[in-house]
Amino acid sequence: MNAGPDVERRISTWLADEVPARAPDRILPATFDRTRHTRQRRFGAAWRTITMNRPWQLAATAVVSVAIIGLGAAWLGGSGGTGGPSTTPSPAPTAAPSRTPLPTPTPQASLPPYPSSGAVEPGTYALHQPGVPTVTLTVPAGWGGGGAGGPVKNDGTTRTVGLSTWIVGNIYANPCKWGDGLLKPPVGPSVDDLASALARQPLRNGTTPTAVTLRGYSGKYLELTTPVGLDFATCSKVPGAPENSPSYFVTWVGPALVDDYMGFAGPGSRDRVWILDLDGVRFVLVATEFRDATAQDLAELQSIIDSVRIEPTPPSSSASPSAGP
Amino acid sequence: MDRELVERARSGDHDAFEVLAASIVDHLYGVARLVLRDADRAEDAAQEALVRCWRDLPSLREADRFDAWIGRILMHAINDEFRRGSRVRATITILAREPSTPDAEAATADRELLERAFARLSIEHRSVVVLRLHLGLSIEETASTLGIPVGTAKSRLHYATEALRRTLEADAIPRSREVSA
Repeated sequence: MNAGPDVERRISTWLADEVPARAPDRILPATFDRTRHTRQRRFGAAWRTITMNRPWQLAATAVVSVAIIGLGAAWLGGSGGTGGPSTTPSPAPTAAPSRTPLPTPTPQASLPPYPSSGAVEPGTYALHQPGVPTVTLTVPAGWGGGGAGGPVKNDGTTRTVGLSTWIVGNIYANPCKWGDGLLKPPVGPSVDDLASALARQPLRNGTTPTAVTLRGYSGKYLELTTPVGLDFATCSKVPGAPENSPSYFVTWVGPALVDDYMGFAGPGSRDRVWILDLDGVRFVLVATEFRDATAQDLAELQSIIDSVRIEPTPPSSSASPSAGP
Repeated sequence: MDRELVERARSGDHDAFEVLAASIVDHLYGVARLVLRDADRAEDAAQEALVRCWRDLPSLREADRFDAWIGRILMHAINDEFRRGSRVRATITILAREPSTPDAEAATADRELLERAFARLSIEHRSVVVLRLHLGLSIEETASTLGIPVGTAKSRLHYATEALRRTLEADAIPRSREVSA
């Protein structure tokens, strides 16, 4: 038997004979059963385009912060209405939360689903995310679908603004070094547990959680920012991704502790976070503003927030946050 | 690969992903089957690779690099599947035993030898062999797909082909004796 220089050819021939021509038919249906319920990991990546020097970064952050505080306060002042101007955040509740009737809720069944991609026509939609209560909202012109969350504008730039809905399973011990693992022990199941944990999460500069009522649902509100000076290139990459893939800054993970990541951030970006108790389901609404978002962008985001109606249907699975690892 | 399809799937279009997945599943399963030598585990690895593909597509910056990207994801899924440990499975192997000519008989023996020798290689060595000698990737592409240095890929390929060569050579001697007897 000649096993000389042609050994590679013989191996190659053998492999070609061995490889099956077709995959079993059941792989694709089984795959799609999973992917239809799996949110894409979508991370804001605008930090890669940052070109401003440090003083300008700080200035821009300050400007955006002022705008956000004003807008956030305006919305927080409402407790079920459309969020009229106010400078007084909701005080901490002193009695059992009362449910404010929804202002003529629109049946979600009659609304088109919010598209997961592409440009979106102005109008009212039902935003569905796997395992997350549905919200209805109205978007103006110029917004699009951001597969992972919901409405997004200027995606992939330092002007990105967006709104997303979540059920949080646990948060990362360090959102930059998220590859090192989740918080241990994991975040407890209550609204307060999550709010407190986020307020303490390193690198997020969380504000003190304050009591809030939104659309009749009580909960906690806080703001998270990402550091302007952080070198995001030092953060963890997606496991298994090519070496030249980007690094990410990831805050939390969904209830299954896989497949659903909140990593939408850039230097100086800010997340306004509402953590609400929807009849036992801990629901999280996040309004994200990257630091170069314009006043117009922020006003449009606020108009979407003001239009939000929450459908408190519990998730079909993983209704309560996991206490997993 | 259809760039537009990749971009649509990357932006969250599940219908586009389904078309994309259908176009690559045979390839993913085939590679997994060769490396893992187990149909059920190859099926699991291919499915896992597709799920990861959907989940992580937004991290793919250049749609043109999809093929290399999915290759890397597949090899990780194969490794993970392998490291999940052996499972109890009932495997029935039906061997074709109809060698009608000496050449056919030799070819069958060759296949059985390679099968056994290949199965004795580590998962890392099998991966290099499949990428380099079955898919025809360059040694640099092989290294990139596996996330290892080029030198390591060369070394693994050399070790694996030498091991297979030695197996074939060792068998050549008794078979020659059988022929001459």
